[in-house]
Amino acid sequence: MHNLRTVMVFEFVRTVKKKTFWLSVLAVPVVVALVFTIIYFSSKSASENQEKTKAEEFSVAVLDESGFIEKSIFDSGKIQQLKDKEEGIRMVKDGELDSFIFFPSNPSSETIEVFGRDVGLVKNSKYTGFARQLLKSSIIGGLNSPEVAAILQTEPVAKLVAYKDGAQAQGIEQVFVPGAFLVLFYLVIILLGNHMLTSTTEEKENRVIEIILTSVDAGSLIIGKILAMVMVGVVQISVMSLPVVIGFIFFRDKLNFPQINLAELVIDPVRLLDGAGLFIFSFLLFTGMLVTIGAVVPTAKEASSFFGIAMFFMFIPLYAASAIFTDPSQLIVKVLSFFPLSAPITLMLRNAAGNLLPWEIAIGMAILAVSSIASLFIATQAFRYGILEYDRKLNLRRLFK
Amino acid sequence: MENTKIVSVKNFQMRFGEKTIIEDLSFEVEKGEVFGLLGSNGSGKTTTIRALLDIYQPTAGELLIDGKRFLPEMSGSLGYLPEERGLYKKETVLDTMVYFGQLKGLRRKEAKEWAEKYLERVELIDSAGQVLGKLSGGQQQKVQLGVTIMNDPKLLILDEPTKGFDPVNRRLMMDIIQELVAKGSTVILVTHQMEEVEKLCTRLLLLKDGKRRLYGSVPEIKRQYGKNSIIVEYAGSLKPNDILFTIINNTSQSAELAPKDGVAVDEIFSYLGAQDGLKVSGFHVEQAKLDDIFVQIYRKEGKEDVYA
Repeated sequence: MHNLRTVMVFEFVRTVKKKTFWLSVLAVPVVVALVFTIIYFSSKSASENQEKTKAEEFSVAVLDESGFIEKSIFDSGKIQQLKDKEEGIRMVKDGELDSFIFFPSNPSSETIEVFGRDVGLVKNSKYTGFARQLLKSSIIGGLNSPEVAAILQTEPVAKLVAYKDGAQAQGIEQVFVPGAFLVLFYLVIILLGNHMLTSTTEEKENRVIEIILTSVDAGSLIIGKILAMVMVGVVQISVMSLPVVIGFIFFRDKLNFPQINLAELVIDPVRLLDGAGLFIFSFLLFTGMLVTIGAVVPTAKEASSFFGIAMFFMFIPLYAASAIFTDPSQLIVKVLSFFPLSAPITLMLRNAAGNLLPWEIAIGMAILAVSSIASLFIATQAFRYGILEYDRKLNLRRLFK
Repeated sequence: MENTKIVSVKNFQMRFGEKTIIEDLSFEVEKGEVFGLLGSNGSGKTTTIRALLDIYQPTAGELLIDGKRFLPEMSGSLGYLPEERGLYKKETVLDTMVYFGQLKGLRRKEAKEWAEKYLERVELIDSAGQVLGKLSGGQQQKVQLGVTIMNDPKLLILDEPTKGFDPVNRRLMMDIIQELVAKGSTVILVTHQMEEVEKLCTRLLLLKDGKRRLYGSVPEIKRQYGKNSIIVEYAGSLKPNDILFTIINNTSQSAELAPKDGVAVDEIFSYLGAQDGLKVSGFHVEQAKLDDIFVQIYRKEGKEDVYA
């Protein structure tokens, strides 16, 4: 591991020193902050408008053929009662009335007809909302039982307690911690993929590798690059998550964050360890694959095409997510679980869903471990020999001879 | 007893798949000498250097530097300028030089000092903070050379060193090589340029199709394989002599003669002096040229075009 630290520091510093790096890193929180700001103001404005609309009074006339509408509401004089539907429509048309509501004889099967003075696409909805509310409150008001009225007026609360193998099963809270590895893996691929690919092709394109290899062995060089990329990833994720953390702590209510009680998160140590193991081996497999691609093709442009194909295989399990969550016994799920390129996402999804059997995690982990070691071995060989094939693709057979 | 050999290659063999690149190659390089490694394209010169520096794993044989197989830990005493060369184009001149200095075992501060001193010498100190890709080709060559000789290496391996170099940088390189040799460094020069070899090398090795064809000191090789020619300036009539020489070129006042095998120059001189109707006004021996010797070696097997 001679010169490992030197390589690591150089690779890290030269990446974080670039203006383009900070532009891309800061662009994400800026965009996120922008989105949050828009959500905040839009939500604030919507809520203010709602209140304002509610407060706005408008003249209403009603023709009730159903007989459900309480007669007493007409006594106040705020709501006018009409006998003729055509007359109501005419009054709205002529501007004598803001709205006219026609309740048919059977509102459960027939449409309530609402006519109103146009006040804009969004605000027009106040007329239909008022019509529905008037019918609902009239019916509830006519009930003798306050309990029944309360049930109909509010959303009933239901709580699920599920059992698995005789023990109480955990709910959605169990998904978050093992699922975090999947999110982390996704971020690593998105954020570091291109850095890793270009950091190897760059040395090939610049023809600098032969000098480097006299001072650092290929293995140390690759590990140094990987560690530097991990450090770069930590910086990127920290910077990017900063506005989310600030938003979560200080503006949680105003930004419509999902209501997560951290105390309720379920931490299953076995699944946590499984998730960590799957993440590490998947990361090594992914890294080895990128270094191999970078080493065997002549330019970064060509490397990007191969990178795209590899990513397709990596993310193909997302198309089968429904089967992965609901019916893991399906053949397609088994195949995706044990095919090295699709295994990372599939196994991490299944670990999050909690439907991985012990033998499946053992085999899956073994496949990923062997694949990642093989991938790193091929990467080192490809780096050592392929990187010297400056203008052409490396003959893969040569790596093993 | 002190080991005088800095490089020792014994029975080196290199195969890629079924193809044999180098076959049973052995040679040694003495400390402090300038050694020429010559051969046509594809003869195996670069492969030999890469195997010596452990970039390639040899199929068989032993390649040692200072009695040991090369390891990256030994890079502090090595200066290597590969044939395919380049630098990090997006990094600054100083950062690049400091990085390579650190890889060679210098502390950051030492590497920076060394780099600044060198940049001052080659008048690039004002560009130290510039990105390499923005420098001219000639300026980049100077930086490349600086990276190669950082830390005053004991062994300098230069693969086609003047390839792509402009005349100014070529001269700079020659000066630097001579300075390093004067300080006791050993230089292995892998080249096509016979002028450089004639000028700098004390010994050489010629590879052809992965095999050793010539090996030894330059004068020895010239003596063994080259034929000196005699330039005669004269008036009158110069007659051929099938026993003593062959006339290669003949104008009205000057001729180039090739002595026959085993014939001494003195014999020809005496013969010409004794000729009636011939007045010799000038007579000198021209040394055999390495270029001619190599063309001769390649021509023997119909490979002249490759070497040309």
